[in-house]
Amino acid sequence: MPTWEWTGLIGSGALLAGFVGSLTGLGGGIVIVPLLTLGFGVDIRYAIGASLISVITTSSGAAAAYVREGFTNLRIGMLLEIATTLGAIGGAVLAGWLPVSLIAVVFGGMLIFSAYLSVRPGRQHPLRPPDPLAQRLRLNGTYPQGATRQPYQVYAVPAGFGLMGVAGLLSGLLGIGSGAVKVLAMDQVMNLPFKVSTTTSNFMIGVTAAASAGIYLQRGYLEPALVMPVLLGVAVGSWTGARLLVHLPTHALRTVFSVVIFVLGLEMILKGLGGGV
Amino acid sequence: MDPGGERWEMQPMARLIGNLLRGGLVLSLLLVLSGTVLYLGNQGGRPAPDYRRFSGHTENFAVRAGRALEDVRRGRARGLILLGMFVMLLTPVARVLLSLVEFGLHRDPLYVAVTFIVLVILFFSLVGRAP
Repeated sequence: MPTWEWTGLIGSGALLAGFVGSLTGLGGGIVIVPLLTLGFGVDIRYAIGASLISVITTSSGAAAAYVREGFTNLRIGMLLEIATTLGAIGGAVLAGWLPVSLIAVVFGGMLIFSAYLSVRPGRQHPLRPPDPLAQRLRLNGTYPQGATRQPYQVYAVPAGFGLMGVAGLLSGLLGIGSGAVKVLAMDQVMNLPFKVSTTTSNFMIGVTAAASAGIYLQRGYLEPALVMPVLLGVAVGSWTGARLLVHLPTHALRTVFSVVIFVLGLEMILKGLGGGV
Repeated sequence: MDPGGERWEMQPMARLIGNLLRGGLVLSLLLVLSGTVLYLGNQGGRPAPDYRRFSGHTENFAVRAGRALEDVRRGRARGLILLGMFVMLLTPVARVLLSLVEFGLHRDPLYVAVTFIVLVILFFSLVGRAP
């Protein structure tokens, strides 16, 4: 296959991944690695390298928009980034040590877990007395709702911090944003409003990914000719997706996409177990 | 006690961060796009590279950055793409640096310390030797 055709195919696949990823809020990164490994037979180390860079692209793009609207909690983001960056370094180091077949299996498990999280109904947040640690760290904030700003309380900071370390580890190990685990930590454990946890999670993804990208770069996981179509495709796809978001039935899309992710997860596990990676 | 921990007086900071992220993203995409045009123009017709088998090897950050700059000076596509990748990678780092300054201006020593820790971690992850 000539280079232009191969590059074009990967670019189109990445565009689709970025488009659906931004429509469903699951991010394009989670399907880039299966696309490259299962679809194009790329070694998983090059695949997670290209995926990680594309994850920074979507994070920067979306974060730029949301941070100005005032949903993102900058203090929570900064504090939890200590956990995610440390985890990310650990994950990137592990990626070099673990056998690729095991990485494929973990990736498959992560896909299935994300599929499950995306269809699970949200939880109502009960009213509780304020958390002293969250108060001391001044994490409680407000977010826009209509014309006013609605206040919210933050809880269980140490548990959220720990879970964020795990999210960072998975991000560095698999080259993904780990948005699902981050939202789980902030939405379910720390009790943040959904819109605040999704935007703050997105905000942190770029920094988390940057922490493992340095190690990927030194190890030679970042191959420019492969990163290039993935990065451009995901950028165009997620940009388009974000613009069409309000016009499309995102709930139905989310259900369909989670089935796709589930199947991809199974395939990754089978491929890993079969030694085909 | 201030009930809204993250008061919306953070607005100027948020706007600045938004612009920084957007600027870094656009610059990076332009670099990668020009690298792509150059790359496909030069070798679009040749057989596609084979990434089925991993052939990378470990080299430190300074060596890779130095080679990328050398490639840029010679006008090679690879150099432009790598430069775009570096910009993409360093944009979130620049955002943390900007937050450090902003928390400093807000006289918020706790979050200056938090931001500084993140910056140190990022610094070591980039220039520290990969094990």
